[in-house]
Amino acid sequence: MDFRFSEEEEAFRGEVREWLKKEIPPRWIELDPGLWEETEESWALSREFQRKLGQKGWMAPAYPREYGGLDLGHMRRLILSEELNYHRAPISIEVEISVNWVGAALQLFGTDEQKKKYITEVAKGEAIFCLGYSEPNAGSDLASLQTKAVEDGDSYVINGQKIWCSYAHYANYCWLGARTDPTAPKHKGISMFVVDMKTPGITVRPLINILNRHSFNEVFFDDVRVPKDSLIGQENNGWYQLVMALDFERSMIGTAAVNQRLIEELAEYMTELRRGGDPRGDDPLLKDELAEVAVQNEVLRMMCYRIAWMYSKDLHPSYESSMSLLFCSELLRRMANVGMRILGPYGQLDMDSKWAVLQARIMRLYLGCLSIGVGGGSNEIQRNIVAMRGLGLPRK
Amino acid sequence: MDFRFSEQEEAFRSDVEGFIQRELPPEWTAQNLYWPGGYGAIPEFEETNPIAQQFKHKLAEKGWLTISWPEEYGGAGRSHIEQAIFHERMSYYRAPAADVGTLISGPTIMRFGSDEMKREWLPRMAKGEIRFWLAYSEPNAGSDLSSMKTSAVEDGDHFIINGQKTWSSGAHTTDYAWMAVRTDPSAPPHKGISLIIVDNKSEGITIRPLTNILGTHSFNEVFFDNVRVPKRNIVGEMNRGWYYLMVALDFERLVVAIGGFKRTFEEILRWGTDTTHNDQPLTSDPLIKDRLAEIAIEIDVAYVLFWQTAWMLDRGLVPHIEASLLKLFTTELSQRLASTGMELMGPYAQLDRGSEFLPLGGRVCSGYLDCISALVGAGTSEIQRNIIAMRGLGLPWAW
Repeated sequence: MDFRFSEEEEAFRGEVREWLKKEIPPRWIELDPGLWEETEESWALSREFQRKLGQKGWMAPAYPREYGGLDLGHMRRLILSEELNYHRAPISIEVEISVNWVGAALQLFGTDEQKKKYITEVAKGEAIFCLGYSEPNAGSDLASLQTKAVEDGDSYVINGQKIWCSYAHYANYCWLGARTDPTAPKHKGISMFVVDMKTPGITVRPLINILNRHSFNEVFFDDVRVPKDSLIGQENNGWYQLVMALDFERSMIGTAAVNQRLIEELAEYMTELRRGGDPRGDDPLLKDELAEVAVQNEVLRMMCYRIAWMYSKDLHPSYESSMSLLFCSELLRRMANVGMRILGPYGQLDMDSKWAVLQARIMRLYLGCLSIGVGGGSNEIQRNIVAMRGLGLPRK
Repeated sequence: MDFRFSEQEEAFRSDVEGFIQRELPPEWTAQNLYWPGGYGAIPEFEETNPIAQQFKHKLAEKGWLTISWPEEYGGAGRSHIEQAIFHERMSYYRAPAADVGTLISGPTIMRFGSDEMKREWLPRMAKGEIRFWLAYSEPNAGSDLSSMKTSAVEDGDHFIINGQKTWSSGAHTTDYAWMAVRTDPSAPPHKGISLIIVDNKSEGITIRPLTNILGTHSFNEVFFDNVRVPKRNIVGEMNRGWYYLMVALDFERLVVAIGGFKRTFEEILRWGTDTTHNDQPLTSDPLIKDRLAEIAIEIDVAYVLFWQTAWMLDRGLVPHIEASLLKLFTTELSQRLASTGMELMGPYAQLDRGSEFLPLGGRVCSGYLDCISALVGAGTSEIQRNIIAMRGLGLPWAW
């Protein structure tokens, strides 16, 4: 056991930090888009930044060199992710989706050709993916999805509807789960595809979220014809591939750094209040609650470190990822609540108010965090996974 | 709406208060370790205690063991609100003022029993002459109570009972089993159950102690081997027992020792104020104040729920959902009260009974252990939530 990073790793962290100081656009910091808050302007800034990151090999540092990575290993991937997140670099869930969920699954299941094409584009920051999982009647019971892909000569023809597709309006590709054998048991008739979002027959309709921003979409597939090599892995083996991708999704590597920054800011805010003679700065209840959140964030950090370490040893985190997502989602809610109590009524003001505190980050987190705990599998699903895969309790 | 008590009700409260001051030895309240929401401590301090028997006898003389019962059955013919006022005061002083018969079996017989049965059993319950224990749970029937297997087979004027009951509180200190048995094994589970009264002295009954978490003998396993019970002991109609049982359980869930919450909380509060740390009372700590205020609010909420159920009974309404709600809320409150007390008292509360350093005579430590029982007895918290979901909100049954 060794809980320290090596000297080389610490040096790498320093290098990343220096680079970020120069490269994060000041305008991005002003806009400060949090979870699900992208605008046209912020999106353009983040795409530009991500291409720079890709050119440096830092979009997907753990990928092999032949696919645009630097083969730096997963501990350095963790360090990089912590620094990007702590310094609020222009990356968000789209990077996670493309690089660490879909990209990682493609590495496992794609052909050489598929890897070369999609993974390299992702690692260079040239392409992003959206997820085609949920449907109006398939959420927690994802295996009951109805969107179907039917073979027709050299193609598959896809029909159906997906929903809650984050960034589908920006994405180059969709990582799509579709039913290829309607007669098989529901888990055994699903296949995974990569679908070019420019393919005729795809309609993307916005769903405006709780922050009044466009991040989610409905995506309709009407006779969408895709070449046969859009199929990833084996036909009807898609559920297995999908579950692996979901384990990647639930890893939450780097999220403790996001929270860390916010906790520090709340602590600083309380210190300033105290200096100004405001008793809220010394309120023992608030201090107690903030300390509690800080403790829990350290726990989350350890979970993330363990998962990164597992990846570095080629172990596949499964229920460990579910624990991480579950713990993180509940922590985000607690953190938002504690933040709201510390800031008082000021915490309820939006960014455009001159009285807003911490760029209204707490208020935006309070709304934005609700999606974590549903997306990637609800908290109930994560508990089921921990119970079944982790504790070996029976399936119901 | 009127949240005040009537003049008559206030006068009755004073009567009850006066009676307690006269008749209950002053040290009783301090020595009785009864914890609101628990019942593991009852037998040791109450059921075998001569002071308790004397006190209950005096209550019976006034008809106060069964305040809301008609006078013809030995009651005081008063309202349920007055009965609630009585129980609030009695539980505040941890006084022995009720039992399974007066709180559960009696009211159920009043509703479903024949006139003959009422005349035979109710007056003796009201006088405190006979006492009951609840024979419901079996080794394989707890939350799924209707799957009980203990059978009663007709044989002339009698039933012959065979089977086993468990978690039988007070079976060793009382006189009769208030018992659920299967009388029709071919019917669906809920439709083959009957309620019957069984004399503990019947031949073929074996009572074996189960020592509880407090080290007290309160629970028992009870075995029935060819126990003959007269047919007239059956409550209401045969095979309708499940429905009577549901009502009996509602009555059971209304028994919450509401005053005990207030009393115990006051004692904890006083202890925290009298105890200093760095020359400051413990209760000057903002975190402690916050926790105590939270509990105080919840006790107030429990009180309002409690009065509401009494008010409903006076209007002939059966508080089905309200009984589950009250039971659930107060038993979980009992646990929070105990945890808060334990945290406030720190390591001192964790000393064994008998230590001179033990705060409040070990009340909180004992309550911390005892409160667990009520989260299970009379239906677990999960069962109460199911009832609220299904009967209260109309959500579908599902397993």
